[in-house]
Amino acid sequence: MTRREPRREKSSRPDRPSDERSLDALLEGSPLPDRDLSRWQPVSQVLTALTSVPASSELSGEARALAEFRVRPLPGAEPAPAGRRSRLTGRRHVTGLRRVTRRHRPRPAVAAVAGAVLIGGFLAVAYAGDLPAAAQRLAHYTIGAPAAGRSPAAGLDPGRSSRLATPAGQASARSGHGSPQPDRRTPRGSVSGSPRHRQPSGSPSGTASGRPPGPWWPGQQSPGHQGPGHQGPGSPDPSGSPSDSPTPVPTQQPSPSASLAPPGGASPSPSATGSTTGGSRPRQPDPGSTSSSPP
Amino acid sequence: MPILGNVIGEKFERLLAAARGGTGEADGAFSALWRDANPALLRYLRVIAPEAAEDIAADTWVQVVRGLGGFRGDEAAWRAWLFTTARRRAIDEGRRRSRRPVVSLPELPDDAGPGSADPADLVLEKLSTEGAIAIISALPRFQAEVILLRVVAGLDNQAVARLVGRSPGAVRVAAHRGLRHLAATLGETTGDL
Repeated sequence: MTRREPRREKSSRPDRPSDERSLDALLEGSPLPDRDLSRWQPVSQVLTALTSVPASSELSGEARALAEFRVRPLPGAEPAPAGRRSRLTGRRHVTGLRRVTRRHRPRPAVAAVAGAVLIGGFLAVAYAGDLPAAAQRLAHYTIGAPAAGRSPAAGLDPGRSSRLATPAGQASARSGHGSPQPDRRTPRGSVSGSPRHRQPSGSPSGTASGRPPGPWWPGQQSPGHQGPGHQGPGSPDPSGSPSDSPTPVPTQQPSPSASLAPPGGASPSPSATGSTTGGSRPRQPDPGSTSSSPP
Repeated sequence: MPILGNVIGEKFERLLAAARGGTGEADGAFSALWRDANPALLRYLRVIAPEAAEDIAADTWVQVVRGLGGFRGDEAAWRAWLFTTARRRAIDEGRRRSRRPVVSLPELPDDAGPGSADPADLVLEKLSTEGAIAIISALPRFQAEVILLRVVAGLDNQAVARLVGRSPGAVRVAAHRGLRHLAATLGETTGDL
């Protein structure tokens, strides 16, 4: 019942079907019904005026349109040069490749390639050691590039260069605790002196210090590397600060390469341990597991 | 009701082929097509984009000239293509003007143009094309556009629906409402006088 009420209202208008017929006739240009003629006559006059004979002003642009038509690119002809100015509008039209490139401009791809080139170039220069001193130092601490002032050849092993660049490394080299010869098999990141490699690793390997044997904590400076309380300039994190997780005292004997371990308890890899022991000693358990699993 | 009195009819195919061909008859053929369609195009644009109707019409013809070689269809399709292009250009122009509105007050015409003064008075005073455009311009935009596309462009209900992106029923209803609105406006004006 409620749905029929609006229909009844609509159909209650007696002239609606006739209206629609008349309106359709108006739109199609058909003759109006006689009984509606007077009602729709003004509207019909307006629509007739809309479709009247063209005025001269409406045909004044024919010459310009024809000029534009004459310079159109014919089928099989070369495309019009990009940026040709229209004779009709005076505007510059974008055609051909320019239009395509504007619509499909590969901005993300260009940005990615440019970024890759920039980063690659920076890395290359950083590892070549050709950056300015401050930038080279920053690269040294962040990405393990050779330290400032080192030759590019030394930069082949950033770990070594970082060790030798620090006074601690030089002191250890002078003290005879180890040979300054680098262990080529040592991965760069494992013995780097950069802060990110000075995470508490709990590596007990390769200790040869004057420090008395005792508990060794993760995050502590590698024992045997420097004297007690010594803190290298490139090791801002507090070495020797005890943590809550004491680890067993390493039993490994000092080795030359291990003496070059960076401050902060960097964790040499098992390969480094093997190189220092000559392979005759049994390998120590992976020290990294100690640090990664806090008690 | 004449659709500008210039429906080409059977000659359309020949004119279009000649205009596309680039032969010696091409200029004459294109002129015939232009003279047939441009007045309707301008009248349509004077309602939906009164501030830039001539520019948009010229732009539309530039687009049509470029795409003429690839056009296939009869006269109704030709008109639909023409007015679709014009409508898109008008929309683009409206967006451009909304971003950079330009109002040149000294250049405003003194006499009443489309949308100014009382359009019904204009129609009663002088039922010219300009007056008719003025009173159509007073209708709601969609109703005015649909009426013009039906009457001036000569498109049928389906073609107008495709052009404006609405359903045929919505187009028909809008056209009827516009005509009723027009009749009411003219009746009130006549009654007042």
